[in-house]
Amino acid sequence: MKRTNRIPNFRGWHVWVLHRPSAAIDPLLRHLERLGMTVDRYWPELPRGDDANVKAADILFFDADMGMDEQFPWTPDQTPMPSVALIGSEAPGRLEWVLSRQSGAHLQKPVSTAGVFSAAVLAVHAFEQQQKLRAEICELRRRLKLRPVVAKVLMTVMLSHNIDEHGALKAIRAEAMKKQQTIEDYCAAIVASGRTGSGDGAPIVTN
Amino acid sequence: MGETHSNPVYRVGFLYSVTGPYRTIAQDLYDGARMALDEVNNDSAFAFRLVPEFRDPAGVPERYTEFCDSLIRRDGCKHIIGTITSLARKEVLPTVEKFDALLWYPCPYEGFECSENVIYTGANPNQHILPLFEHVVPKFGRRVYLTGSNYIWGWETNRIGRELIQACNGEVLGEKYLPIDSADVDHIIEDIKAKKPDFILNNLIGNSSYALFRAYQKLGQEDPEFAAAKRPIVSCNLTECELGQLGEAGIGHLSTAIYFANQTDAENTEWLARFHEFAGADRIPSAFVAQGYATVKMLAQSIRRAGNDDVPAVRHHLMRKPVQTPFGMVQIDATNNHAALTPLIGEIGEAGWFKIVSRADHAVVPDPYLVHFDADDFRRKVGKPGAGNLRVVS
Repeated sequence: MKRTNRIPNFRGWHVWVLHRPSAAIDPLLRHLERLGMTVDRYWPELPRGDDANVKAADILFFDADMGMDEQFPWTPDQTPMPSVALIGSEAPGRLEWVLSRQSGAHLQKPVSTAGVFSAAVLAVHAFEQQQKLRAEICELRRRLKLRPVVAKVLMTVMLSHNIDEHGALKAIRAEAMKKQQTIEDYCAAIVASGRTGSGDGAPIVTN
Repeated sequence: MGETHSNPVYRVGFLYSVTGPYRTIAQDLYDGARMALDEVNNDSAFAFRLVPEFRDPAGVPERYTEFCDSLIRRDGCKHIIGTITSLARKEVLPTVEKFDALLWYPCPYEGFECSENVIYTGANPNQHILPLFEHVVPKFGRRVYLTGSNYIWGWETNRIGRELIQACNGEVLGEKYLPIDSADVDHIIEDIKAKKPDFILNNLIGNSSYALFRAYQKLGQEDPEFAAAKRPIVSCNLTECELGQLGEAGIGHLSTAIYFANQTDAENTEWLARFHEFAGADRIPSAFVAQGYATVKMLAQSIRRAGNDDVPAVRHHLMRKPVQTPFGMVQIDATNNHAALTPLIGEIGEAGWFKIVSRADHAVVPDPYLVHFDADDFRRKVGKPGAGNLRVVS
């Protein structure tokens, strides 16, 4: 009955809070420390990631009311950490901007202590999901690009073994599995070794 | 009498459901509060008078909000003492925060909250379930069966129990919930009989809890494998006030609390004598009586130090130094508004008393978000698994 614990312990995490000094967010700063985190508040700009004097952050809380893209050293699609929007104004234009920054959770201003822990947990989960999906999409795109290579090897095996495409694909899949590779990577290696052209190399698949 | 005509009067709101499903606990908190109010109002050291405004929401969540609002706005209370369930506390929180009043919450709870308008005087998980498991796991084993009433206390305390058991490579053999007040425990007992856990974590409340104890006693009489001394039921909030309901079925099982009435130190002996004078010699005060009493004392001492009942001043003076309570000097942690408390483990004895079988060496700093919980440290504390009672899962 083992379950994975998806609730992070924030002990030792470092937070950046992008917000002007304000009594409305003081409870947030205090509560983040209660959750075991260290906090740096910045305004009007976040530090650049390559600044050696700056402690890198694990999570970001940012102001949605006065915020603008120029404050961030990264583009929205390259957000490098979980982020939580601090929302006062619910004007559609502002919410539009929050959506564009891809935050995984939000807190309503003035921030009280309630909701901070949940927002951090949800933002971390959303960010991890996003990263996972992004990596999966990258991998699928890479494999998609190798489709011509697979077609080339498929043709070669069909011709050299005199079998149809289903038989050839089955044989290639079996070989790839033996080598613990994807079909695409296996075929790319074959093409790179030049064994598809001349026909004088070792057989691509064994019967 | 400490009262003179010039002494100021401070109204204090109380939200205790002395009728309704958890009235036994509320009655103990209420009696402890009345005793403390009597003492404060008759002690010349307190140059003011506390006037209680008692309200009984009868366990109905909406009534808590209604009463809390009127206590603050109509009766002018800056301080509200009470609520027992987390559900009721969450009901009144928005009102308390809106008017910047202070809620004094006197019960053990599941943690993961920290309002700046609440003083939490009861134990949270690193002061109840953690010390309980540190005592029970090395003694009985790490194969646990989790039970609870179907609401946040049961769910969350069992979740923490599961985390602790996973941290020491133990095994959760089952997890079952009952609707509040349900006594339908037969299927739980059947499951326990089949799986033979090393101990049972009981987060059932009221009638469900009593039914479990009675059915387990019957099982133990049929099969000595299920004797309390061999496979106990362990609880995080079972106190003296419910032992009457359990009768003999409770004997030998374990619970954790920050106060048990049989503490033999001079302070408790003296307090117990005063309590018996107040409530009658046959009444055994539970941790809830002690908490109800202590919470009023903390408020009164802080008002005395501050010179008035304004919330910021009271909060400031409360944090400055500890207050004497029936369970020792108690300091509220200024960083998270929770109390540092000394956890005890008690074994249910005869005639409604607990025997204290373990006591923490010192007050445990409150850690409501379990930020400082360290699985390796816990594993070391509960020792190496015994050969006979462990099945490692990974």
